[in-house]
Amino acid sequence: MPILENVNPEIHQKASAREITHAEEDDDVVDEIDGREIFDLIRNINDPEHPLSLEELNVVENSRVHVDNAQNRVMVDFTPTIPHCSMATLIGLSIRVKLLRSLPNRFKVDVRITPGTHASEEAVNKQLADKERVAAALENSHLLEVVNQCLSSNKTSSE
Amino acid sequence: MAAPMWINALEVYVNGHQATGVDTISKGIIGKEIQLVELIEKLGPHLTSADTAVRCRGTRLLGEVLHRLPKDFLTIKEVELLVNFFSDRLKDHHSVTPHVLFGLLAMSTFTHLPPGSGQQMVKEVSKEVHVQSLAQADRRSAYSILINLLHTKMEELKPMGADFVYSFIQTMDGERDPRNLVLAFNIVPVIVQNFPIGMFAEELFEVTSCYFPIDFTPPPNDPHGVTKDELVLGLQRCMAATPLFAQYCLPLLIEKMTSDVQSAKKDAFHTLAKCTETYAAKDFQEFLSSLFMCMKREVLSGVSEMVEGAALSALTAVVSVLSTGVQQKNSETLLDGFLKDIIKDCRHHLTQPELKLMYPSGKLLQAAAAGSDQACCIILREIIPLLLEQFHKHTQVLNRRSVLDVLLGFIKISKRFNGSDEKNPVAEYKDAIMTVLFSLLSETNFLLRCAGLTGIVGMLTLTGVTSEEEQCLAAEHMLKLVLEDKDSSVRTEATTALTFMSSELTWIACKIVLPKLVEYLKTDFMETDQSSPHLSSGYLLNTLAAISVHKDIIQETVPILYQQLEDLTNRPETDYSEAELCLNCIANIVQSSVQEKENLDFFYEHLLQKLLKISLQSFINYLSRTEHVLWKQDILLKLCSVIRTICQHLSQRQGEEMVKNVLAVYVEGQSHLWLGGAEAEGAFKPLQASSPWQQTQALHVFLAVICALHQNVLVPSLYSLLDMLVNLTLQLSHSLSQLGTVKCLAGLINKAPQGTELDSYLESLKQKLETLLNTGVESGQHQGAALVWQWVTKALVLRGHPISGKFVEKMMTFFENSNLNKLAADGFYIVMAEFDDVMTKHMHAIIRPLYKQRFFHLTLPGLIQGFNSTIADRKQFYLTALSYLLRFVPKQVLLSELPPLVPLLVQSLLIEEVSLQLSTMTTMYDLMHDAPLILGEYLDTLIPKFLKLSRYEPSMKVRIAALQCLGMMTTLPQHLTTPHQKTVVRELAHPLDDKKRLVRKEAAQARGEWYLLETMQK
Repeated sequence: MPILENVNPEIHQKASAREITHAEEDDDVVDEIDGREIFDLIRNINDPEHPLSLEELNVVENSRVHVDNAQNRVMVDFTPTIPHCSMATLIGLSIRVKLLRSLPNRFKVDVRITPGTHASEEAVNKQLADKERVAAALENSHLLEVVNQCLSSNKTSSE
Repeated sequence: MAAPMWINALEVYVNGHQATGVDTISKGIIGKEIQLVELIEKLGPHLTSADTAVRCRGTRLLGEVLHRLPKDFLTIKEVELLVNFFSDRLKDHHSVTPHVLFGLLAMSTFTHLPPGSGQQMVKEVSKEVHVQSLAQADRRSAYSILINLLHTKMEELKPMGADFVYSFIQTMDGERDPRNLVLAFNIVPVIVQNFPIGMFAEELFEVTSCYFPIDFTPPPNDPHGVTKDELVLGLQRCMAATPLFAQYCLPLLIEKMTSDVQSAKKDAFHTLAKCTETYAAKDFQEFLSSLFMCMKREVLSGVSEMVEGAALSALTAVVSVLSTGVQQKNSETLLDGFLKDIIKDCRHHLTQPELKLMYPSGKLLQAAAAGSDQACCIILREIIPLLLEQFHKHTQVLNRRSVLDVLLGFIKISKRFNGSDEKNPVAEYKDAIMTVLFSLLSETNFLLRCAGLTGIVGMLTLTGVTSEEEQCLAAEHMLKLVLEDKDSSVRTEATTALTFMSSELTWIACKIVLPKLVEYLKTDFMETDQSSPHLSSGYLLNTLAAISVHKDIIQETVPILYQQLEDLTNRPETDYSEAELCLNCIANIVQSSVQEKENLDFFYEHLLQKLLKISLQSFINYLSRTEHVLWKQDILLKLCSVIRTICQHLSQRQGEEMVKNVLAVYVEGQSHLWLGGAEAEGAFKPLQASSPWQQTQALHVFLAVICALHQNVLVPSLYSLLDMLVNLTLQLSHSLSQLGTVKCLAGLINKAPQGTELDSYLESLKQKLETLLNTGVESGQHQGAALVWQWVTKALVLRGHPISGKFVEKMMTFFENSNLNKLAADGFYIVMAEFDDVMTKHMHAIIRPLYKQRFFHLTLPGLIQGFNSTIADRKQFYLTALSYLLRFVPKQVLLSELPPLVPLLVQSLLIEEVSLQLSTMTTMYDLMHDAPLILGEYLDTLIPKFLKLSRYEPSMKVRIAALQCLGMMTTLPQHLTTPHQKTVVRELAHPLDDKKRLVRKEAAQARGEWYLLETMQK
């Protein structure tokens, strides 16, 4: 097992499942994509180091997800558990890839570090915003495997 | 006369290679037609032949015959002779050896073994045979000989002592076949118990432990049925067989605990736990700290729940064994020292409740505390004060909550404490703990209030810890939260706590809780203050129902609930939701408590009759009302479910009384029997089609009574009643009434006593209905006739009546009858589906085992053939019927018949009929899990269909089901799915922008899984 950077992180309460409304079950009503829907897409991403979800580690929070349906924009801020977390880029990349796969392509997605929570905030943000670099990263089969690991739903993937 | 025949058989066997003849000869010997001596005489030349192959065949034949003889057939003398003979033959050519072993195996099973022969066999085999160079089956013979002799000749073998051990080690050293290992693993513990293994302990351990951890996957369709578990448990028993193994075993286990393979770790922990059953405390001494390190690593990392659980159980087991030696001087320090180390290691994590390691450290300590009473005392005395201190030190809600959760874990663990001479260690801190818990109930954060409640319940479950005053105080607090708390999750938790109180401390609930709730129920909620908007009579009724878990309370609450219901039915305005709620409460109480005789009698005497009366009142007084709560379908059916639940538990005597009663009122119109002097606007004639629907739908109540009773409760003049029910079904147009009537008919036919009366009735009913089915179109009765036909078919198929075949046959013709084809598939639903209000097991219906399977096999060929030969417009009726069959037929049956059906399922997807599409997709979804290879063949056809349906505009349910099927597809074998990955991923981009959120969710899920295919490949 690799050595963990943060052996003993804080854990947080998970949000309960979204309740299904009557409108959502009505065939004729149009449901807009909202912040909670996007949060639901990313909250169960696995942390690369711990057998915990990003939500449990408070890396992603509902309040830091914003959607602008009219402008087709999605903004997600995430908060690394420690300011020197070397996994920040990988986490950001996982969020990006997850949204790339799960949202209609009309959306422009921004994934950034919550301002003031990481030592190399700017560098990481730049990396995540650079389309070519993200695409190049995903060409790297090892990196892609690590990202997919984070996105896979079975928790015993280490077996 | 027989002689030449068997000698011929003998010659054929020895010279040819046919196995025939053995039976002839052995039967001859058993029948005393052939003497054993004769056989050996005739075999003589073959047994001494110069040709090895002939000697093999000769020896084999003798062995085969001996195997077939009864175990007490041979005399001691004969056995001795044969054992000597076989022992001598072991010196023969090596190719003869397997057959000799086979013969010895037969000998080892005989009851008249002469003294010394057991030892002789073991000695000769170990001297002459190198077991591991034999084939699998022959090695198996060698093990089996040992097993047999260890079983019957133990006293004789024991003196062999270490020699026996050594020869066994040689026998099994290098064994490779799992079937043989299972045998060998069974032998080892027996040897360990009966022989001095001292000198060879290490060798014996090596020769078995080299298989640890077992890595074995049985081949598919394994005919031998050796499972991995069998091997794992067998090996575990070997390794844990004796403390003499400890010095070799524990280091090996520690080594495996540090490996990277999860299953190896798990096995190591399990084996450790097993070892504690035989090893003594001192055997663990030098390994304790390493063992704990391994356990700690697994629990703190929490990578695999399975390994973590195994580690924790092993810790409990180790502590438990360390505690058994406490009377001896030395061991006391061993336990103390071990626990001290654990506490030292975990303690500081408990002081950081905001961090992740708090919980796992708590788990470690709790597992250790669970090991013994001493451990429980030592740990709890150290940890509880620490946790209380932490609770006061931390002010943040989540931190406090974490501390409480861990504290509660320790309280729960102390439940195992059964100390005869000492008090539960929690008792020492009881006051401090209770103070904290009670104070939590007034915290502003709801999580803390919930934690307080859980904690109090935990404390109450400990015997002899809390005082009566505290218990009463707890009840008052719980009640207060139930009534006044603003947060619904706290109220739910508090209600659960009260339920616990009612079942465990009933007298307190009766004294404190019940009167208060009743008093509240009497207040008018329109005027109560706005501070507790949840307080409604409905809420209070639900609470009453929740605490009704003990007969003393039930006898108080059920009358209150009933009274509430009666008041509602008397009010001029109708409050459906309140009535439904009230009935639900009654239904829940009855359902969960009717099994107890005392409760049943109470319901029979004080509830059933009242329910029948108010329902009758509502049916009979239909003129003066425009609506009535009990007329509404949902409420009527709920009422029926309560009546049914009581009736199906009634004794024969009670049942007979009920039948008499209900027939008098429903058939003979003597409604005054139930109403007494209460007002009635007219006559009650529920069995007449001309009666208003309010009365005819009363047949559901009739059904709930008369079809729920025991089979041995007979219905007088059954056949005239059946006639009335048939006619009523044919004439009724009110569909709810009609359904109740026909179910009643079917339920009675299902339970009708077998005999000619029933047979001739069914014959005449069949003729009557057939006429109506053919000619009833003009009178409009053909649909009613079809309905009767289908339900009667169900009743007969269920009980497996001989005439049912004819009914099913006729039902198959509905498809091609232009007046009936739209109804044809319904019959399949009716027969296959289970309805909870008629012909269930609980209602004592006659249900033949496997009736679904039989019906499936009976109708499937006809459906397929009909589908193939019919015109396009009618195909969908067959497909719908098929979908009902598939939905309800047991999985194993379906899987064996599946391949020819898949094309039909694919066809069903094409038909624009939402219910058919949905049920087909549900079936396919399950099949992808159960029959991946069969469905896998159709991916080329299925994927485009599902993709199309994932954009099926009219129904979101269809879109969702299609997406779920696509997602499930990723579990099919990789080589089948990967070629489609690009297409599916591309096409699934569309539903990501579906207008419905629920569809988008499934689309994102399915697409994500298709993307992940590449990683799973590894």
